[in-house]
Amino acid sequence: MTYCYPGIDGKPIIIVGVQCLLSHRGFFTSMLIDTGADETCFPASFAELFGHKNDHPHVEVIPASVQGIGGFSDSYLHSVQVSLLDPVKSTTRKPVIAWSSKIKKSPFVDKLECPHGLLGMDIMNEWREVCFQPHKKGLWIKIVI
Amino acid sequence: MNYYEKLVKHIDRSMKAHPRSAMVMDMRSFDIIARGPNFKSLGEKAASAQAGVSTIVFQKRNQKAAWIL
Repeated sequence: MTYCYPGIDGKPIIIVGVQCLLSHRGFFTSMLIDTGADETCFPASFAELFGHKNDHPHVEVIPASVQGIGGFSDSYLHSVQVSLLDPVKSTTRKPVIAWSSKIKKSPFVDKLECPHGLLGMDIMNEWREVCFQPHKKGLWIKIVI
Repeated sequence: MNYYEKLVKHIDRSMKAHPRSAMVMDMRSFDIIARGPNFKSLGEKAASAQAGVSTIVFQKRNQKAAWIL
């Protein structure tokens, strides 16, 4: 199946569903499709959106487990699953999930200071193809599952 | 224009209107139902807004510096 999405703000930013597999609380949010990211991850502050606390004793803290421009950072491992919206079948009455990742845990990173998560190569490796198509009004993202 | 394109259009419009705010949008009506300075501030609002409503949370990138992610 092929899905085409207009990028948000002219960037390879896509709307995805994120569901906490413990509370089953979910929401939709924007994520940057980042081929430079080994792992899909979220800013640490996103845990609050699930009603989670990163300092809860049941949350696994992995010291210095990720790195980037800000050096090494601690991360908090949460059980979440990322899904793609079906851009055609979804309606104002009901968002339709087209595909869900097999990845069931993702790090929430202390030093990731951006307004969206990073959809990394761990999830992209589950797809058959992804490409970015420049357009006069911005950018289109094509994903083949 | 399909639903997803409409959604992106409304998100782009809301980000232009409130470039420094994190927002929760009702995906059915495209209304902004909560707004705050960051995602942490939206935690409780986002949770309470979710009862029976599909919501999307988003915030415009800070444009003070180039992003290199």
